[in-house]
Amino acid sequence: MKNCSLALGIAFALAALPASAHHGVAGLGAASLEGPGAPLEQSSSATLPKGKVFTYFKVDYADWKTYTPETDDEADYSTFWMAGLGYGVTSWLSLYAFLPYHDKVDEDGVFNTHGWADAALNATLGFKYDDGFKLVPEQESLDDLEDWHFTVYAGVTLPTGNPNLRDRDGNIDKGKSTGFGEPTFTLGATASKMLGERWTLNFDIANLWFRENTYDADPAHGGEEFTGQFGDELRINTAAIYKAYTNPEQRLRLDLLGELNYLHLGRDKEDGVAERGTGGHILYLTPGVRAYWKNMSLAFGVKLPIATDLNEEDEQQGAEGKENYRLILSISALF
Amino acid sequence: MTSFRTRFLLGVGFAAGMSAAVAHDLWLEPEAAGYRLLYGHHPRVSHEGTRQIAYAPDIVKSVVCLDAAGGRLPAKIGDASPVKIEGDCAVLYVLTSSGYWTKTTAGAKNLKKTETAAPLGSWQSFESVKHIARWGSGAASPLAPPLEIVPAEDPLALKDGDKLTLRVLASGQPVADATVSYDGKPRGQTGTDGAVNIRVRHAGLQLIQASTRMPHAGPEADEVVHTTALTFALGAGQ
Repeated sequence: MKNCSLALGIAFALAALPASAHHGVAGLGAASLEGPGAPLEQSSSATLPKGKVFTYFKVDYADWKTYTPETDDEADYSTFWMAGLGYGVTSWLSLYAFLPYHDKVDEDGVFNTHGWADAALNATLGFKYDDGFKLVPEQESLDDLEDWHFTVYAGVTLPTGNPNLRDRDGNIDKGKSTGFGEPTFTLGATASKMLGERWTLNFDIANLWFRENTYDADPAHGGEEFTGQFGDELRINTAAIYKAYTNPEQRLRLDLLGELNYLHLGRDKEDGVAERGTGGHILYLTPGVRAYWKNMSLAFGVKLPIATDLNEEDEQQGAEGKENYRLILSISALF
Repeated sequence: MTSFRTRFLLGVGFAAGMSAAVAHDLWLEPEAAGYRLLYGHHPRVSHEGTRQIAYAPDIVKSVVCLDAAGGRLPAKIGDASPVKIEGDCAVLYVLTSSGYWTKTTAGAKNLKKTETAAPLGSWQSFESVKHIARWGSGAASPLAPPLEIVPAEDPLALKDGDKLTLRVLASGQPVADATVSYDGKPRGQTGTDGAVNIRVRHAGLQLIQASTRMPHAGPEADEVVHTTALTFALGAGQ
């Protein structure tokens, strides 16, 4: 079963990027409280200021729907922690590193897993349209920030997690392991636009590719090694952010945001054969708030699956799209 | 009626970290054969309505009147308040200073730091305004005063919503990190080349201001605070 562990590493690294938006982190001079807003669960069209260091922490708590009333081995909840560090190499190129930690808990608690997941690296190139396309300049006024801004980004995960976590029978559970075993690759693009002084629209599209990993031998595979490859992931996101309140003297700002997050999951494969109970289409609605204070940003949102079309849905307990809800909290700061 | 003004800090202003509510405006109002230099609140910046405040004429330190090609023209400067400036200027630049200001527990005083018993903070205040009535090399070239805003292109050709690239220069040299405002609202800071882009948002008077703070050389004050303005008029309302 492809559960939410597929999102480990890069997916959350991408989710981390919105908060990295330098326009979304208060404290960058006179314009800091008046710039565009930043989404929560998608990348924004912002890069870090040159020479600035960005720190990030995020918690994503997923509460899973259960199919049976009994306390059994169904997934109960998962908590995905993420620490991140970014650096503005130039005003138009930002580099990020993220280290996730995952905690996956079943109802009966017999086979809970936790541990460091796959670390992720990401490079983001920012550009804008202002009488032609140009790289993001070092200094932008609020009027410049009202132009269309874009990014393209690429990411890779490193196999720092453990892909071979075993249940009590000694069988490897790919979905509950904390690593993919092989690097994954992401390409994405964003577009953002301020509409007036209060509204910001954001668009984000990204695809994640998995490589085939050879897993250790386990009893379920006759004591032989086997291969597994998770299905590609396509994410299409949009967000509207509304600047609800500012207090320049306190350097305080409060934004309301709403996001639509579409996710297409391809079917997983094992030993080259497509697996049942994997893949599908999910549309999430994510309302949230973001507060800025000086050089810090705190964001909170609830991610709700509002429409799903999952393959063999009754076999996907504990998979993306089968959440009751996800609670997302992020804290970021720019130095 | 066209009027143009610059924020008159009265020693205290946005760049000094004080509330804009305590700042005043200095602006030029056209009249027959010239302009009047007014001080107080202007409705473009202040919601309190227009209010003129008397000032000493000797705050005017220098006046430059240019034709469109940059040639100097004579300007007659009155000696009463409000000061009248007579001349057919394509570009008019006025430098004023209200002198030294010191913040005390009893409020801001028009005194040097060395003249107060318990100074909390002090500054020397300069304010200036450049008005462009006609475009040409006179408006495109720096005048090299203590502080000025120089447009990179003809601002009189702009339409509502267009962006204008400006440079903030001090004695002809670029000023980095100067806060630049439009209609009294900060819109950005200059880069190392002194440049910033500002979008015009209405017809009529355009008011663009920049402020700098620098350490004062002597014991009379802690800082030199200078606010300069660029004004021009577009379309209706000229």
